[in-house]
Amino acid sequence: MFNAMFKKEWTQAWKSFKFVALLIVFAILGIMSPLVALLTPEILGSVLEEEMRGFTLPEPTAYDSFAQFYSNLNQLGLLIFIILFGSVLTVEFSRGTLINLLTKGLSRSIVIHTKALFLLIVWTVAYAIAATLTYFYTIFYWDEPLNQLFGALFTSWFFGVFLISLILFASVLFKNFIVVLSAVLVILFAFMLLAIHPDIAEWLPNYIISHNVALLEGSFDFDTLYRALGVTLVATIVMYVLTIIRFKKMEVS
Amino acid sequence: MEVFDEIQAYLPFLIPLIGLQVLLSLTALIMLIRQNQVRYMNKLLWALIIVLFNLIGPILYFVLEKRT
Repeated sequence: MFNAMFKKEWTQAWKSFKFVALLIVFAILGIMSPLVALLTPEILGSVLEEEMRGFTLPEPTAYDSFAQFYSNLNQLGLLIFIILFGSVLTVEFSRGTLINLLTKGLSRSIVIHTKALFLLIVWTVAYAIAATLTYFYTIFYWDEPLNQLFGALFTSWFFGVFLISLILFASVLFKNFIVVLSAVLVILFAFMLLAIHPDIAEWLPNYIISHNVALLEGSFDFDTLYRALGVTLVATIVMYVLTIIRFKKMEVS
Repeated sequence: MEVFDEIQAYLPFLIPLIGLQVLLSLTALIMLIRQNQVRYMNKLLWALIIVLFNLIGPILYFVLEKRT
């Protein structure tokens, strides 16, 4: 059952070109990040020619390249991922494609496991492509040391995993993709507001993606993230379990 | 000559970027042409959106028109 379900998911993603489209977009983001970092001083210099007279802009560094990478990935990248793939579960509800399978004995938890694994693989591959491209361009053009590289790359990936769990949970609660998308955006916005308070910020999932560049520069210690990482992990697991519980009880029409 | 040199310095970025962009838009256009009917608007409008809004245009097309 699992295999058939999983295969169906890939065939759909392949035929609709959505999977390849996501990989292309992430590759573009990965290449664009170091390019924008390289060009920023030149663009600023030519735009602000009058104002900048007598000043010299600092040369871009490897950290600027990764700053671009994270601002692209954590915002645009995640948004495009959600828009392209956030509907994998709700689309089954709106089209009623699950009823047949469920009456034939497909286990409900397998439905959720399949969707989750599919999203996890799509996210991991896309993220790996973007990160690899930015990494190789960066080490080719700059030679600043990239400290805690693995940690700094892990946090953004992990935040995506948290979002996948959130999307699935919102999907079984609201059943409609537009509502799911809005709910996810509202929650992320609420995190941003809550994070204004420094004591609360340390406990929030978005804390783990707020210090990526500082991790690379070595000015921020990965250990400081443990609390937020723990919260994110627990939230991811709890939401996933709740998704399965809720899906088992809900009526699929 | 200076401008030419400057562009050449960025070719390692520009070639893959333009290639990927073209691949994305071209695939969307080919799929659009081969599609019998579109759900929203009409084919010409979709073609314009795909060509004019790079990245966002093709993505919108895949999301809204290729739901199966």
